[in-house]
Amino acid sequence: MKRILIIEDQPDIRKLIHMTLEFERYEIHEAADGGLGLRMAKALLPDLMLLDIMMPGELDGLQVCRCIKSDPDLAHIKVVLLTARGQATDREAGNKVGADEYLVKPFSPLQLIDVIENLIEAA
Amino acid sequence: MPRPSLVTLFFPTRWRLRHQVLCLLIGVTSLTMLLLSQISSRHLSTVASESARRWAHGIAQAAANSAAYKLATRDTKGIEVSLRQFASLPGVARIEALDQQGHVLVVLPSGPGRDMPASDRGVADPSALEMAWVPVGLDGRDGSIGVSFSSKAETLNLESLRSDTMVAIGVTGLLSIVGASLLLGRALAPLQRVAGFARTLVSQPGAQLRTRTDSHELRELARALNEASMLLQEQHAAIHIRDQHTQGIVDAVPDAIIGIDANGSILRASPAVASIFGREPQDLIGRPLAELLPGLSGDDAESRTLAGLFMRSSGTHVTRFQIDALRHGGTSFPAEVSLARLPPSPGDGVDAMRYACAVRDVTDQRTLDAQLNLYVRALECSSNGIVIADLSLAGKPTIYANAAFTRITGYDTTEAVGRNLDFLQGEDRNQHETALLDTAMSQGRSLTMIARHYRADGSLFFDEISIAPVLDENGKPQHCVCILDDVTERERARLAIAERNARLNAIFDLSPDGFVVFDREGRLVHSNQAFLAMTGWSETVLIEGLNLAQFDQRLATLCAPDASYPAVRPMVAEENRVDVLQLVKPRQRVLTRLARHNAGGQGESILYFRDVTHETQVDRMKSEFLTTAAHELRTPMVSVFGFTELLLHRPVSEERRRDVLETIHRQSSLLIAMINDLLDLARIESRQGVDLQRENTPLALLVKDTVERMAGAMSGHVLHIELGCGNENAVLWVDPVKTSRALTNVLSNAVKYSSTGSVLDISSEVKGTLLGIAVRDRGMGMSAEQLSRVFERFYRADPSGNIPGTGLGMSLVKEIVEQQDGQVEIQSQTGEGTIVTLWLPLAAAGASVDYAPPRPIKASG
Repeated sequence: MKRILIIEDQPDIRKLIHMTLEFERYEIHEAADGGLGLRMAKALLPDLMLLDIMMPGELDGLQVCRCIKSDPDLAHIKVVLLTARGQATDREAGNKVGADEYLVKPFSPLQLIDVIENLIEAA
Repeated sequence: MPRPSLVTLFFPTRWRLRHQVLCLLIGVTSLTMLLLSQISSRHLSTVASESARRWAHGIAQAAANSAAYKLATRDTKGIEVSLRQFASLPGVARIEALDQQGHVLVVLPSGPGRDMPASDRGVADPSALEMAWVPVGLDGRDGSIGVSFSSKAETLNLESLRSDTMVAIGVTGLLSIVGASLLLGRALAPLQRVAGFARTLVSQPGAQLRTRTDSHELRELARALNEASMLLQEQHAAIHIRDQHTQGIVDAVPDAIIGIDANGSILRASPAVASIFGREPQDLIGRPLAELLPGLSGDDAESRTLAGLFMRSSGTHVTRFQIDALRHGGTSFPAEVSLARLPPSPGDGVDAMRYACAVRDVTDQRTLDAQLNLYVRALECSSNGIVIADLSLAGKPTIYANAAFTRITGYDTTEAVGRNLDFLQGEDRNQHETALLDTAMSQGRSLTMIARHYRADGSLFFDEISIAPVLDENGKPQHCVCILDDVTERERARLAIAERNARLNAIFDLSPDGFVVFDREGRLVHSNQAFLAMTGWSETVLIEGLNLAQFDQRLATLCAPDASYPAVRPMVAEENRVDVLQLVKPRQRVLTRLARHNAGGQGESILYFRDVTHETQVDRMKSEFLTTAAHELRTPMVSVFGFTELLLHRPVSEERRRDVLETIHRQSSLLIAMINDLLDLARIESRQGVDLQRENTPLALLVKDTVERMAGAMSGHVLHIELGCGNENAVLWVDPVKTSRALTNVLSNAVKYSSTGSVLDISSEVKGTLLGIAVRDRGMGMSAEQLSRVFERFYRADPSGNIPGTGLGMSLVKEIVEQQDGQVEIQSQTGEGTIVTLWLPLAAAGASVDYAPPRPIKASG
């Protein structure tokens, strides 16, 4: 069972992702803000993280991603950034912090499944 | 020539007086003698004839007496004897005795050959015989005796007597003549001396005749002559002096004065001839005038003068003309000639002076005239109006105005002359400058000023008047030259420039942008207040005369040390580079700087500073806002898009599907609300209060109406409305609809962020002209950090999404309240609740109420 961590402040979106992946064989965990998400990531060591960029709280998505990718213990975790910001600069910012994939909201659930499968299979 | 009278014909008066007297004496003597001889001759013959008749009668009587008897007796012999004695008497030529019948009895001498002296014979003519008949006897009865008596002897006696007399008279006459001649000669000698003296008088005026023992008359004459001589001497002297004067005048006159005879030859010439014609006066004598004045002959002079002016007093004809004269050496020059024709006097010869001629070299005058002409033409040609006023006359009238004056003012020259120039002011008399003009004129100063003048058609023009007084020899202004220039265009331009300058100055002063001006030498000469405010520098920076390098150095100290300071490059005129300065002192600012080198003007450099701190912030905020707005709009779309896709592709239970649809609906509603709020906010912001329809709105109605309309949204909250004493009747000056919207947002937040069933208070408070509507909840409250961001767009105090909201509500409240000159005040404590107070303006006292609520207000709890 692959383990997936969702870090997203909007409960409706967490619910949507959860519902999208419920028929797959994934172990799904959720966190509502960056700080909590990072702690959970360290504890759970998920295979993949779905990370919202704009989140209230002490850490936003980019910071969380940077922490993950700069930590040798966590660097293997695949990170998919979810963001409402779809401009080139935003994607660049994502690449800089070492994100593996970049999905712009609103995203297609089917596309999300494809992205996740591709990343996990590649791993 | 007087006709010689009869007297002078026979008595030549030209003769000397002595001769005249002698001649007269001779004539008179001769005439007397002639007359005397004539008279005496006639008288003599008469006397002789009478005497002969008496003699004849006497002798006849005597003969008759002696022969009476004999005759009676006819004694012829006797008679003869008697008669013979008588016949021998001297003078008796014949005695005849006639008888009574008349028969000759005796005739004695008897025959014609009678013995008579030869001398007598010649004389004896019958006319010299006197015949006397004496009757003899009574009534001649005895006959008669006739005696023929010859008067010859008598006549001869008388003749002899007469001759003696004549001789005596002749001698007397001769003696008288001689005497008279001597007497006259003696008497006339002094006269001749006097005459001789008189003759010398002419040559020796003032000579005195010494009178000796002359007659009274002569002494009188001499005295008279002496007086006349003295007088003559005086007059002579006077004439001499006058002559000298005249000569002096003639010599002094710069004109050449030339005397000419009838043929046009020069008789006299004044010394000025030398200077005018370059020829010595004495050389000209006898030369024709035409040598000096070509073409002027004697005939020409005659015709010219006779056509000229006739001076009755002197009998001269005078003419004046200009002619080209010839100087020595052949150069000609313009000359003015005055030619007078003197009246000819009878004894004048051909060489008598006939014309007097004064010649003046008018070359200088011509030049002067030409120059003067040029000046006058120049005045006329001037594009400026030129007016000359006579200050010595009352009213300082204009005496000259040129053509440009007419062109500028529309007044004809004749309309201007005689009037003071101030007539151009028309009705507009109270001009400050004209007082200056009068002062300057009276002080004899020059002045240039601009007056409002009116043309002939009444139109206004700005007239630049330059006055220059013309002083007389005493330094008193006598005339005044005024130069007029229509400077309306210039004045308008000047006013426009002044206006523009004032405007620019105002703009620079008011401008929030900073300006710094460097002069050609690169010294700071000007900066406006805005720049000083930006940099915090004092005005002394203007006095210091900083150069560009110093300026740069000083400005660099204000900038953030990590940001490099771009040095000014003002000399690059073409470049329009905008430099950005990050100031940290006196406070954080972002300035843009533009340098402009004014190459066309004075070579100044102008630095333009613009404080873009706010703009930068706004830009950043706008960019953030857009990003945020996009994000906030995309977030609900994630649910809508994602869930609908899942519903389409996956079989879901009915219960699940309902849950998913509710989520979709909720997120869609949020999306709609967000879009509405955004649009409202955008409209309110962009319209800047134009949409506001403010009216007098009663507070109580506004609150009640708002509360009533959102009654449905209240989820069991307890609402206390306590407007406070006296405020129930308060009237606000607000847009009721928009204010109600703001109040609704505040109440909505209070409801959303407080737990169900908690108490909400609405109260009011008056502070000055504002009334505060306070909404208090007892909900979760906000931290100071949250409080500072409460008006940010899309800011949510609760980001979890559990409390629905767009994050735009408080932004809208702020916009609505502030655009009505109000303020929003928020007090909040985490966990204790929040008080939001909307401060809104009160309507003016006594204002009538306009607001009518859309529906009746129900009591609400």
